[in-house]
Amino acid sequence: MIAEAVQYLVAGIFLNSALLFLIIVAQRMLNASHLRWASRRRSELLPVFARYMSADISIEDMLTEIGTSVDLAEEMILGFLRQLRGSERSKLLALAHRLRLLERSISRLNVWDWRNRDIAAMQLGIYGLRDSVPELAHSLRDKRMEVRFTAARSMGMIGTPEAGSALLSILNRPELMETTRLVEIVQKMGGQAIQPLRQMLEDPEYPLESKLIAIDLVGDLQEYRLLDVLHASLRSPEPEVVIRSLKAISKISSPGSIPDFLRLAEDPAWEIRAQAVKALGTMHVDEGLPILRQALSDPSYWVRRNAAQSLAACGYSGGEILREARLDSDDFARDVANYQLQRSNGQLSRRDAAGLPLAEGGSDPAPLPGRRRPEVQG
Amino acid sequence: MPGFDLDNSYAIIVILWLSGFFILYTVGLIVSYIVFFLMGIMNLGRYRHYVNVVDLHALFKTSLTKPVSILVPAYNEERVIMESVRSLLTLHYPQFEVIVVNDGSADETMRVLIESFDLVPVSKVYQRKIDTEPVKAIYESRSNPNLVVVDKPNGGKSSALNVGINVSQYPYFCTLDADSILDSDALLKTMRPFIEHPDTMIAVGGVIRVANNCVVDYGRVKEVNIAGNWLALAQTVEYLMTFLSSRIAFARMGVVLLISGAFGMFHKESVIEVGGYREDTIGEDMELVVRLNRILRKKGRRFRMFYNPDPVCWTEVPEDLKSLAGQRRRWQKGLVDSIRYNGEMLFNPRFGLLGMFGMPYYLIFEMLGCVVELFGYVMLIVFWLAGVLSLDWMLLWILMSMATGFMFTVLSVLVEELSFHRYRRVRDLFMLLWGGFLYNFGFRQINALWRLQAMLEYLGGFRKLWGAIRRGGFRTAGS
Repeated sequence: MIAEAVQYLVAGIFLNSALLFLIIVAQRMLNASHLRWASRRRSELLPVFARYMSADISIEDMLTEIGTSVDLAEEMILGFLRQLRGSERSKLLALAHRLRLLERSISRLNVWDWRNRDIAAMQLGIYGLRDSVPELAHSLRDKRMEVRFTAARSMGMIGTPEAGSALLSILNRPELMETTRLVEIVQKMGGQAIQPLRQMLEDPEYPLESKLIAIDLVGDLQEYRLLDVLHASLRSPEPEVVIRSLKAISKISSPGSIPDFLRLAEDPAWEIRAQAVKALGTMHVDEGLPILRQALSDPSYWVRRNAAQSLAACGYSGGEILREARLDSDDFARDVANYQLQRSNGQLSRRDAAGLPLAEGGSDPAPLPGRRRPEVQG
Repeated sequence: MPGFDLDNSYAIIVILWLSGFFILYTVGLIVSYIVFFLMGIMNLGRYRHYVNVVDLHALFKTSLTKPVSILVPAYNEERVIMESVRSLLTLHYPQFEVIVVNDGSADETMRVLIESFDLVPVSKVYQRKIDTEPVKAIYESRSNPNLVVVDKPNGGKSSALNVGINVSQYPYFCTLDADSILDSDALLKTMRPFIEHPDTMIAVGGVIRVANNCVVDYGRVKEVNIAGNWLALAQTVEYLMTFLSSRIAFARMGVVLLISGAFGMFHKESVIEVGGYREDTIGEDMELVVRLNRILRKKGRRFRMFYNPDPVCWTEVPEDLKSLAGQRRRWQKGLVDSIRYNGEMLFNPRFGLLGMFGMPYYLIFEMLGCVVELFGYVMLIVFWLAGVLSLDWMLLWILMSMATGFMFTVLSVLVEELSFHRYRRVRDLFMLLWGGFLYNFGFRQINALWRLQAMLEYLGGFRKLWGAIRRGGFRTAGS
């Protein structure tokens, strides 16, 4: 009895596995055949699209050429729309209208499978038509987070004011936030993201985590119109806000920020000092040189390291200070100055420009007798 | 051969106990594999959709992608090191540095590096946050400013990695074997979980795939082929089963106990906090991850580890028995080391699922699996010879083993199909099936023998094993 059951079990496992394998193979063969067909058809349609775009053939002729290959045409139209920015878009959109592709995407926003809803929301963003904004706004309340993000991104691509409030609502829920998708939304929105980001940074009600991401995004957008908010953030009692604001401001490269950088280079918190001296290096100005020289002997490793890098970035004047520092009584200042000079001069040799030999094993700060080992910090 | 005295009640009790144990063990293993495959399949579907709609290019342009130091320990890698480093230098990632640590190679690795990348010695200043032996020299490249090569006396992979961590300047580091090639956007994909959870994510692992017989051109895998060598083919199936099912399932349950040393990304400060890589173990990759779990949990720190099924690292697997035996014995000893050094986690409810499921699973099915498997084969023959087991039942057992092996191979093909089907030809599917057969009937048994041998060596006090792997080098486009 047991033996019989086991026999059936073994036979069942074999047969089902074999069946599954055959299904996989069949599916693969079908896919391969479909891909071959699609590739052939695409190469047939490509010149037809070119003729349509250059007005050699009418939209009716184009529709005839497409025939039943609507899915393929949709894929090609979306691909072209991603690349095109100018008036050619309207010709492709007219074709999409005639093929009822927009209606198809809008109706897909309500299907059961969230993946299809997500794809539909993405397609509507690529079409970029304001007609689809109400449907996308509805999708901002979709039960799947992925669909909500894609809808917000698409609204950003279309450039509607509603996208700003969508962005704020997402920023306001850090527990639901998928930062990588948020970045997509802000990048698609470009200048339109300024207002919601300003609101986020100025309103004390928003959570710290959201504000930090908003500061990073301002830096990524290099948005000088938000410099005033970033300068205000430099006075924040939260060190992380100050550090992120310093990073963001250095990306925008505003000379008006130098007094703030100088002030923060003497901040009691070493993390802020490190970031401030780094920011000074991005400005390439002489005003910061005395502070950077002083920072070469800072108690913190990272401040000293960043100061040396910033000096190296400050051209001839910074290089002069580094050359002086090679004779410094401070061991670390000497080493780091040597290393930065090697890098900035492109010499990269074991003897520096002045012929001063670098210590044996100089690559390793510890073994040299009488040397102070850099403290572990940061 | 004398048979068992079946009238002896002790003999019957022993036979019943042993049979019951083997049946329970086998059923437990099969059920866990099926659950892993199902979880893998569900997660892969979701992830595949995600990568189709997400805009990685947007991520590339932001400051959210933190700079990464890629650490490449190299020991006698003259045949592959140039291709490997060249591949790393062309990765699609905003800011990164490549740190190759030459761990006292006896061959021409250092010369190849110096000549290929125009290296010159520098007096680099860095912090020695992890105590390591001094380095001989540090080189930087004139042609590639983000390449650093550290030359140090031989001290093992852990020591090389610790030196790499000290020399690295960025907040995250990625470990990579010198015989590996990353997909161009692998770093970007691996960084994504760190961006999502900047305060808590400390480690992310990726998929390792077999590069044997693949065509490599300008440091990239250009043509994916199934390995021709039978050992490499069996390992291809093994890697698919491991990386696309069980690792995903474990990660889904929040149990990440192993991030392969061949490709993993870590938050540097967290690794420094637990003391870096242990230098007295040869399974440094698993030991580090288990220790991170143990120490950070004990400190009450909130942290996450993640396994990302998409970023792919291609690696050359051994094609000869001697190299493979060395590798597998080393892995087994590393596993024993990791469990031994972090034994307090076993069956300890304080560590949650890690202590009550993850560690016991690794102990029972991974570490002791070879013992049970080989003992099972021996018992099967003994029972048959003793007349306890009829020929029919023995054949049925063998058939059962074949059937489950076949099922898992087909499931591996399915996860490969559902994930990113890198093997594009229909012929490749049949090759994978053949590989599955080789894996189940031959490879697994030899592997169990090597692992048992490693356990015995370990118990005998011979714990270190640094066998060199014979490399054929990557197959290039022109070859």
